[in-house]
Amino acid sequence: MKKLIMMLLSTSLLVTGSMAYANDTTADKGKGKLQTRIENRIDKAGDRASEIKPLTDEISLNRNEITALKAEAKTISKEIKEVIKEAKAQKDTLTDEQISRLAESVTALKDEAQKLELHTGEIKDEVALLREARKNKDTDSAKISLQKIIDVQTARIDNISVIIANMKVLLADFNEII
Amino acid sequence: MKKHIILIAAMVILLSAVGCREVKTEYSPAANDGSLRNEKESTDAAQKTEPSQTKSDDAKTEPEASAVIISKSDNKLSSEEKEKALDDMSKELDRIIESLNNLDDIEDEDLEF
Repeated sequence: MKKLIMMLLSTSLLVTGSMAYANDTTADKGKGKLQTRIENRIDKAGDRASEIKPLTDEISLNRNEITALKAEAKTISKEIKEVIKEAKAQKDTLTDEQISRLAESVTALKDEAQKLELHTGEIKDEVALLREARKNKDTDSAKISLQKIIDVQTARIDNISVIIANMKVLLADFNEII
Repeated sequence: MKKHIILIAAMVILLSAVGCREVKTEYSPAANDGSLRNEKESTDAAQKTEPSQTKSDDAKTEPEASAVIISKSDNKLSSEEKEKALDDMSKELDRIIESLNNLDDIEDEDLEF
């Protein structure tokens, strides 16, 4: 009888022990798979970020430069308008040739400004596509949109720089005749 | 025969010398007869505008060598037109600044990935 009880106890010990071990092993395996999946996702996200970050950094830099150029253009424009007021006070001393030359400089400015107006709205369109790409986690489309934004910004920087240069010429012309 | 030829040649040379001296005399500043010079001045004056006509008449009486240059004003814009041109320039500048202000941009949140 005692032997029987001993055998039963031993058997139950063995069985429970095996069950516990099995659970641990399965749990470890499950945990490993989950961990791997998470780690893979983090890696992919990291890859996406590393591809996109240089583009977003460049966009930030360009945005700052455009802001600075716009401020400079506004400052020079104010100076020119002040000089125009002085010119109006002395208008009778201005010759037709001088007026004509000034008008030509303003026309050149106007042409450059029209180029700006022509491409206004392009960044807004790309931002809409970018948001869609980010929502779908489509890195390739996001990169394309970001690059297009950079291209538009670069063109604007060149455009506004030419406008500022022409404004400086106009200001110099006005200062020469007054 | 030879004497005739020599005589004719001498007369030709003499006449040429006299003729040259006469031409030099005509274009000399000290000459009293300034008819050729005045004709030249009148022709120049005729090509200028009407206000200069009286001046050319005066030139006829003055024994000057150089032609009188009269500058003609080409200003055709009135005072009002000049003011309008300057106002248009000012408006154009305002328009350019407005174009700059209307430029679309990307926000920081759109740059987060």
